Amino acid sequence: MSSRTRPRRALRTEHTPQAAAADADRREKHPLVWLETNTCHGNILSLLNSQNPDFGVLLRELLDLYWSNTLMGAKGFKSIDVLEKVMVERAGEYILVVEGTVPTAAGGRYAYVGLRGNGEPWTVTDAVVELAAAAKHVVAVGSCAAWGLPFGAHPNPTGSKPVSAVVNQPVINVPGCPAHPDWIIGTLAHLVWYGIPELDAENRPVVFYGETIHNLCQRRHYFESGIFAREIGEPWCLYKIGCKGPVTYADCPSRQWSGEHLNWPVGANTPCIGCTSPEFLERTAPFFEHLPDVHLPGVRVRPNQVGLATGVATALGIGLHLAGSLLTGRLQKEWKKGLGKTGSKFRLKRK
Amino acid sequence: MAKLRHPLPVRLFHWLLVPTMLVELVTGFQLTNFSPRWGLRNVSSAKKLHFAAAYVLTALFAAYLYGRNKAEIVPERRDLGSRLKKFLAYELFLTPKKPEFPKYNPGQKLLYSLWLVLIPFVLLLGWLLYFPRFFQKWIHLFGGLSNVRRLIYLVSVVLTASIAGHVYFALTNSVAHLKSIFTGRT
Ligand code: HEM
Repeated sequence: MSSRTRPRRALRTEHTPQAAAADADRREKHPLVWLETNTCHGNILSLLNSQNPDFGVLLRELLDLYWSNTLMGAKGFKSIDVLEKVMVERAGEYILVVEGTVPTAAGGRYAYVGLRGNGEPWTVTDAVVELAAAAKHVVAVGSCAAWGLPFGAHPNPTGSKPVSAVVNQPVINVPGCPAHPDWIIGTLAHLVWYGIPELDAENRPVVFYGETIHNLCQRRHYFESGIFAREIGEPWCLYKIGCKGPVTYADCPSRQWSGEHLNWPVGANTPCIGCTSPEFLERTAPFFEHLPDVHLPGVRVRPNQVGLATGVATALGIGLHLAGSLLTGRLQKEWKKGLGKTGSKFRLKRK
Repeated sequence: MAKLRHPLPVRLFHWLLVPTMLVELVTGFQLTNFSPRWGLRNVSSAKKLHFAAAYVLTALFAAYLYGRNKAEIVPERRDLGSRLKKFLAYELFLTPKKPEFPKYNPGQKLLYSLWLVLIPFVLLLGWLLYFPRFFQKWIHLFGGLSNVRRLIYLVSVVLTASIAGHVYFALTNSVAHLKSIFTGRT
């Protein structure tokens, strides 16, 4: 079906009175600025893969896209001019989407948007702060913008931070690596039509991030029955090879990916890597281990190595102490004395 | 008649604690790395046992925390100084003379105090994992769900090792004390 024949309400999520009321000003498109910072552009590409509604419908019916590093045709002063104008002319109206981390080290000189009208270089950090200050809503799309990784991973030379750490207004996080197109469109549509959606403690919309992958997983019965994959590629529960489903909130199992909602990582026999979690990447690594590494001074160890080492040390300690007690005769003496005094029938024979 | 060492409530607590703690730990380790070799049919039954034991354990430990006179358990200054030195000298076979202590030796006091902290802590972590949406803010404070999961594993390792040590010393250190945890009297 081409987007031309698709009905207008393709974007509508519910048939409610509010939705009907919103129909009136539906014609008025909502200004949007999509600013890419330290990013792989994966989230805008994910959005472009959207179907029902596709990106064209989004632009025709919902959003007035003022700026997108990836999609715009304008360059240089012509494009920066748009950013500077939108801050003034549509102040308090536009949604600012930031995709990527914000590099704050060295006065933000790790990344520039370009030269401002006055010829001054405009750092990404300054642009995010200024654009956010005049925005109606600020949305951090993708796990970089929401949580700051991987650019903000140690040792983090660029001083990269998530959007919420650099702007003063509340930030709605739409994490994912990349974020699912539905999560992005759903959040934007909700903002336009109904305002801020219900958010969880990490500021993620509960509609999309309200349940763990594990609880929605089609392979849950394999988990309960103890049928586990030992290697990637096996069609069972991937828990033992590091699936982060139990500690990750997202609706991937029911929503599914690839435009037509075809499949998702576990469906392709590879574990969930937990990309929507705030601790994603550095504090969930390695991907294919059940528990994240323990960072001790100077070394990184697996938790089960800690378990094994503790077990060995305990066994050794008890073994050595037992040997000492036997060799010095302490143990024999104690038990002889003890049994002698208790009047127990299990008295050690004396003669 | 021999002196009363453990009043009935403490003994009751102890012998209820032993099976629940063992079930909790064994099923807990089953949940991180399930294997049917341990006698459970599947993860589902491990989970049921684990949660049932958690309820009992929480009630039991709440009662203990509320009712137990902690002065007998928490180490005094001397327990970490002169008494500890005497205790270690004997346990490391540096001296043959068995030292006398008021009720518990410094090793026991340290161990029981460790549990006084660690068992409520591990129970808290368990409840966070059990009601993750209700405890979102707490989980955030603890660095996220995967961190809570790692923490509960590491604390359980420490608990298991320390319980092994406890059982070893209970069986070898003093028959009179061992008897007292059953009968109350030495
Ligand atoms: C078969 C296993 C066990 C045996 C034979 C055993 C034996 C004993 C003995 C003899 C005492 C008293 C020590 C004394 O009077 O000096 C004691 C105290 C204690 N045991 Fe165990 N124990 C066992 C397992 C456990 C387990 C699994 C736990 C759980 C963590 C535990 C927790 C405690 C605590 C908290 C006390 C101190 C009670 C108090 O005075 O408040 N025991 N145990």
